[in-house]
Amino acid sequence: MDVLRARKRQVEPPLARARSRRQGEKNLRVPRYFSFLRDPESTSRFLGEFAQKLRRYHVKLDFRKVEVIGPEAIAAMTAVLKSRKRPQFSRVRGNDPLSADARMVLEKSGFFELVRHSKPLERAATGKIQTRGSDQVDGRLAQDLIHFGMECLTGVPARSQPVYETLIECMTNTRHHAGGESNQVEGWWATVYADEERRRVCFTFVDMGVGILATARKNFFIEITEKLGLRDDKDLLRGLLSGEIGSRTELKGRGRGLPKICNWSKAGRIQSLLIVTNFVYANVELAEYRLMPEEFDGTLLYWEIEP
Amino acid sequence: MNTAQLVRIIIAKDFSDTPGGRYRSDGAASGEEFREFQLKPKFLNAQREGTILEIDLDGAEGYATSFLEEAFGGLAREYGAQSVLKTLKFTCADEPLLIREIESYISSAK
Repeated sequence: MDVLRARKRQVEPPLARARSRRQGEKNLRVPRYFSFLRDPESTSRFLGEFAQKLRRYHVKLDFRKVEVIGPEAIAAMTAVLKSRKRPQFSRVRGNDPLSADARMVLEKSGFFELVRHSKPLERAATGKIQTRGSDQVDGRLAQDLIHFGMECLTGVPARSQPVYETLIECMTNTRHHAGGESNQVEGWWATVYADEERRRVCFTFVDMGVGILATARKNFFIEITEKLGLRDDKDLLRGLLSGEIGSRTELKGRGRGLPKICNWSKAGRIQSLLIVTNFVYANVELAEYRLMPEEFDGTLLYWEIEP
Repeated sequence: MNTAQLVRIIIAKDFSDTPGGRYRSDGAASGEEFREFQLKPKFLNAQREGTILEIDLDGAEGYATSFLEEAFGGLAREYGAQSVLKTLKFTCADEPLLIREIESYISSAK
């Protein structure tokens, strides 16, 4: 251990060491139900704090009391970690959940490959979750994720047109809108998780851009609220999904991506569709829309299919 | 019209089985790229020769709305909806509803 420390000191430049001491490390407790499906408010609050702390400090993630971890929450945490808004000097480390189920999901996700961890992961621990990221609209990556997920459950890589189209619509929205006024291209992260117990392939798409509603509100809010009688952000998201409100580009033929995703959900071709963006949590399948006390700084979509 | 006069584009085979987004700047296999390098030359050729251009949509992973709108709506913006609808014929056993969706993009292209 001392040898390792001594070697690390040799490698780490003195300036970085000094900065590291100055910045310090902050502990951050991961919520007991770290899942947008189970507890969107706590999960969103935690991710906001995580992103904020990462801008100034090293962070130690305390997973010990976590009982449930959703693959969609891991995808969001990965997006925060990989966000371009995060300064490069900040380091993240973490411990294991005491719950065996939560630990298994975290290990399978490969999340600890992105952060410092006390124990090396066993090779067999990874395998049923894959994460991919880019800032392009990348059909090959979408294909990889779908085929991987389908193969995990059926033994055969297979297509899923609704999932492919949902992924491409999400990538396109991120590329065209997530940068907001800056027109900077945001990156996105997509995760596939093969849930063997429930026989479902679960997909998450997340970006840390300005959020769907911030984009729409900027161009439509005043006009649309008056014309359509929309009261708040929940109604605004409902309007975007139904196609009542077009895209912010104001060009013909735009703004059809979200309604199409919503239609796949209505037709039962994708299940459990969940959208979290800005202050809104929407369980589209159950038509449950609610405002969250804390803002989710970006856009997250989660859905499942039965292969 | 006999079958010898029918020209076909099988998108999954002739272009890509993973169609992408709207513009070439979005990434590989975009709607704009498909329109400019596959669809438009064959459409113009079919128009010149008075034949039908068949677009076979089967075999691809899927088609985003932005890809379809840019490819077919874009063609209609340039050459007119009526002329595009008259020249193109679509086949799609994988997802037959896709044909109606594309025709709506062509009809509403402005």
